[in-house]
Amino acid sequence: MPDSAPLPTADAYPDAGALRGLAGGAVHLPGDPLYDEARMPWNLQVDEHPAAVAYPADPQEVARVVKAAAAAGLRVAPQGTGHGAPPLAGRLGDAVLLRTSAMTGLSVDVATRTARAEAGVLWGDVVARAGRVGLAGMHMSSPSVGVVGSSLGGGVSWYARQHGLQCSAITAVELVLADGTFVRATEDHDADLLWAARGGSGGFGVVTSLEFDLLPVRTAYAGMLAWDWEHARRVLTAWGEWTADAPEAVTSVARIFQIPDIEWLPPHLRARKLVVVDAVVLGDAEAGARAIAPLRALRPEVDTFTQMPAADIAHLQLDPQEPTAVYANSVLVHGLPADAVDALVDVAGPGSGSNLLFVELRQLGGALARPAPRGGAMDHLDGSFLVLGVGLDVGTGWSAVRQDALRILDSLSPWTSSAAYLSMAYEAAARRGWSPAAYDRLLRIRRQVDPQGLFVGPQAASND
Amino acid sequence: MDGQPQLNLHVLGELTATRDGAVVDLGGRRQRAVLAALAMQRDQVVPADRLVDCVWGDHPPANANGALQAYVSHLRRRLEPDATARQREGVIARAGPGYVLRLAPDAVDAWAFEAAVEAAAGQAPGDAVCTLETALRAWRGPAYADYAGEAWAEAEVARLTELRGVARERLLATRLELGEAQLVIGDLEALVKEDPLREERWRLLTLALYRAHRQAAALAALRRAREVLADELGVDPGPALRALEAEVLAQSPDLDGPRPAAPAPPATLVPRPRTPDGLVDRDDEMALLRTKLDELAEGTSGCLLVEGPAGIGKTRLLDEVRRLAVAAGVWVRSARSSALEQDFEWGVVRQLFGAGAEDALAHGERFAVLRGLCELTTQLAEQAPFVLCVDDVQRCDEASLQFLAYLVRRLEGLPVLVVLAMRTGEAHQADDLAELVADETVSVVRPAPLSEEGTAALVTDRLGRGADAFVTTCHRMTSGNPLLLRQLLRALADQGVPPDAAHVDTVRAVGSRAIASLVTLRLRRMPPGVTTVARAVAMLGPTADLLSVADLAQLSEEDVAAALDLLARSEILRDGHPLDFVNPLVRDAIHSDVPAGERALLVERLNRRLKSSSSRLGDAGVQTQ
Repeated sequence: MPDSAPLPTADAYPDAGALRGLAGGAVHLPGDPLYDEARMPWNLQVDEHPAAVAYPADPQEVARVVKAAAAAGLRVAPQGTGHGAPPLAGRLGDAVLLRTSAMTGLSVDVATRTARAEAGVLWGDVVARAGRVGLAGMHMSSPSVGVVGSSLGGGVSWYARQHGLQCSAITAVELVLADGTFVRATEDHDADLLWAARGGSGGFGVVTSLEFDLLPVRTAYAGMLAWDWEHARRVLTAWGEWTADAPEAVTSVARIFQIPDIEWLPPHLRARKLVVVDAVVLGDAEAGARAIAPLRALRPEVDTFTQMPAADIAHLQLDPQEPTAVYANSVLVHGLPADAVDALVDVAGPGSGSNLLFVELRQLGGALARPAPRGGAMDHLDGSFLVLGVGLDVGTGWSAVRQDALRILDSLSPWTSSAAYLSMAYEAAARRGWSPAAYDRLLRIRRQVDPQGLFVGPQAASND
Repeated sequence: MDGQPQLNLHVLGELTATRDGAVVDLGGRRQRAVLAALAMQRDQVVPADRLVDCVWGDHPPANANGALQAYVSHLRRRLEPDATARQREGVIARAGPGYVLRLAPDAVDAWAFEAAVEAAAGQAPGDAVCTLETALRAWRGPAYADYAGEAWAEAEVARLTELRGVARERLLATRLELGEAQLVIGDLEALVKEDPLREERWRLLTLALYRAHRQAAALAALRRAREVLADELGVDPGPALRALEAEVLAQSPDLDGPRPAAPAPPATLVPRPRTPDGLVDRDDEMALLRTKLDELAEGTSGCLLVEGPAGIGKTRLLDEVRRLAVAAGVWVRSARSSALEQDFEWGVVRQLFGAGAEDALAHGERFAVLRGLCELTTQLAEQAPFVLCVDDVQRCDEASLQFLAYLVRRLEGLPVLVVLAMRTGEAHQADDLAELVADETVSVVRPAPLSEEGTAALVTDRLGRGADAFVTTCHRMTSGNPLLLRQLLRALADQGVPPDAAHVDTVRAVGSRAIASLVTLRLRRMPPGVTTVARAVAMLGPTADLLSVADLAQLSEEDVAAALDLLARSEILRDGHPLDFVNPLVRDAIHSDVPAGERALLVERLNRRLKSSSSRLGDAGVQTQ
């Protein structure tokens, strides 16, 4: 686990001093007053000591940092918010952590229904800006997640069953390559890099901005239903059957949720153990109510469904905005028959001894199951549910949390897909993230644009 | 004040409250709606059932009155945390069937705004500009922004929006009266664009264009007005516009505005004081300034030295001195030393006294000059008490500095207040300065770094109410330096970054830049023309004015005026005249960021300008390397 990494001192990488003064002075070396703060990602479980942390504000500054790092014999690890930091654990000792938070430019073009987001933009920013002109972005469940990192890794949004992966909506990518050159890749120029950006996870360069399509969605019917977790078996079984017939306009998530006693939560949810269904239904309130009627028939104790502005949907799930230490792992499964629900509730529900914060079943299928017409490296997801286990350290240590999660995911092994969604499965072999042909092509492109392996790739198990 | 905390309610933007400048947590949207609904009715009692309608609309909870009481009680606890539960009825008072808000007329920004707009109508133009600019600055977003679109808020929001529109029109009309035609054209174009059906805006724009010697553009504006009114409403322009059109065509002398005030005795040096804007954590300093000015009014002399590192807010305090003095009817003579003029003998004295100093300076021999200047000061003080302000005195030319030291030792009995600002941490060799600093009769003010509460207040002012983690990070990144904090907040505001916990790393990323690169980054993100204008102002130095900048940047005066306005609103240039950067650090940052090619071009144009001009620009020196 990460805590064992040796602590570098300012002289461990004397050449890192050459970076000082770059990025308008926003470079922090070991021993500097802001170094400790700057090196910490959103996921505080990762506690790395890179040779330097830099916050360049535009592509020119990025190029200078990249060149200086290469000249100093250091590698470069691009990072946005650091929600996806876990695979970097233990790999940054000889690297410059290049954080993209200063690149905050965002524009929305109403006429073409597209957005241009620089690498420091968060989904909450896009959703708010697009919402003002009646558009929606295919955002992740937390508004504090960065646009670039989550888009490069695929991006399963609340609109995914109707509109596919966010990465397939990318129309252009701008990046700085290992030799410091700036490239704008589109369908017509450097199309290989655009293909790689569409779900190839990164590791090709420092992506400085993305352009992507928005959806003409003003409002949707969305909300949460909740029951005491005593009803987990009944509710999950019924939900599993319901998802099989649900139209593609519906995307839903079921969770076994052991909610901590956190001050900012509504009182009726604090310190509760619940089974929860969140869903978004594209269309009007009437159609939405019709779609979720079978779930309402299960008599939930909480029902917050209503027709809401698209911008509010980014706040549907009660994810913490502030940096937090979490462990997460997932598997893709084919189907959720009653046996699978039984197996899962046995190890994750009442009496199981599980301490996980939540176990989430994310409904896939629909457009996610079909190769996207404009698809790239990742053009669909091979599984009908994504099962995600997320834990906090409740005093038992991280290895106990990890064991908890692995036990729960293993309980579904009869139904597990050979593919993995790497953005949420940090320990899976990189090969499992793509089709064999796509994986080989990704490696080829990476070798071509970064022959020396300057960039620390986003997967621990990738070939760097 | 009688020791009671100062409670202020802000509704011109999102609803927030502050106690002694610190932001009060008012709770959730519904709870705040109670306060919003009360503020709208001013001192009228709002019945409880009406409040229930405002808070819950058509879907009130089962026990709506109980829930309302809970909100009121929470709000009281937040607004008056020091009072016991029984005493907490001072602000939200129970009255008959409902509640009423009991706050001073100036405690709610919308009320104060309304009063200021009314007051401005009866003031002299200079004062009215000050009043209106201050009042308009209170707006942080649409009125009651959290409740936009709510039926119960609609009428009041519309009323305040209309009032704001009128205030903006009056401000520009008054500036036009003051001879600032060139400078208001950009603003007027923007106003017209916002609401092309308001004929007053077209009238002012036409007048401004005409007075800026752009008759063709003035007539074109009238044509555009006619077209818009015909297309949108199917009507002809009203009598005011039609009369104006006739006058423009006839080149009526009535259209010529008053000339910029003729240089009344030392008229040069009373720049329109900047209006107060988010001054925080400076209560003690302000109290001292007021005391000194009060004493001056009674005929007592004084000398005040404001000392501190770059960006701590010395210039800002000098501005406050000027503002207070002007408000009290006291003359102010100001000068600002600069590195460029340090070798220019008597430069600061000339700034202070203008042509009035020439006789004294003609003496040649240093001691005779000093005595002559002292006599001049005495003569002026006999006419009326006045304030002498010198900023950046550590860069003052040696001769002027000697005069200041000489004068300060002889102030006794003269109704003159000398206020000097000095940057610490910069080497200066002058003995006179050391002597001044050590003088026991000189009161020294050392503005402290901003507190976290002060930082929170500025965050609220610029970006809206900030999450704790956001504010803490802003405070830490800037070490409470107001200049750095303002530049950081402007950089974040330029990019629409919200002040929430998710954007803490953005604060770190932008805030860990050096001040110079923060400024140049902001400038690079502005339209190219604006960047060029800022660079031209930096290259020209103290001689920059609208015409010289337009000449150097090769842009039209209108474009330059609009760019200058944007730069002032962005806190890169100071608001007001003469043209100057908010801080010498900002000027230096922009000056040294001019790319080599552009620099060569600008220097070439500058030299050409110098050769063809009879001005003695060379004396002041223009930094061209």
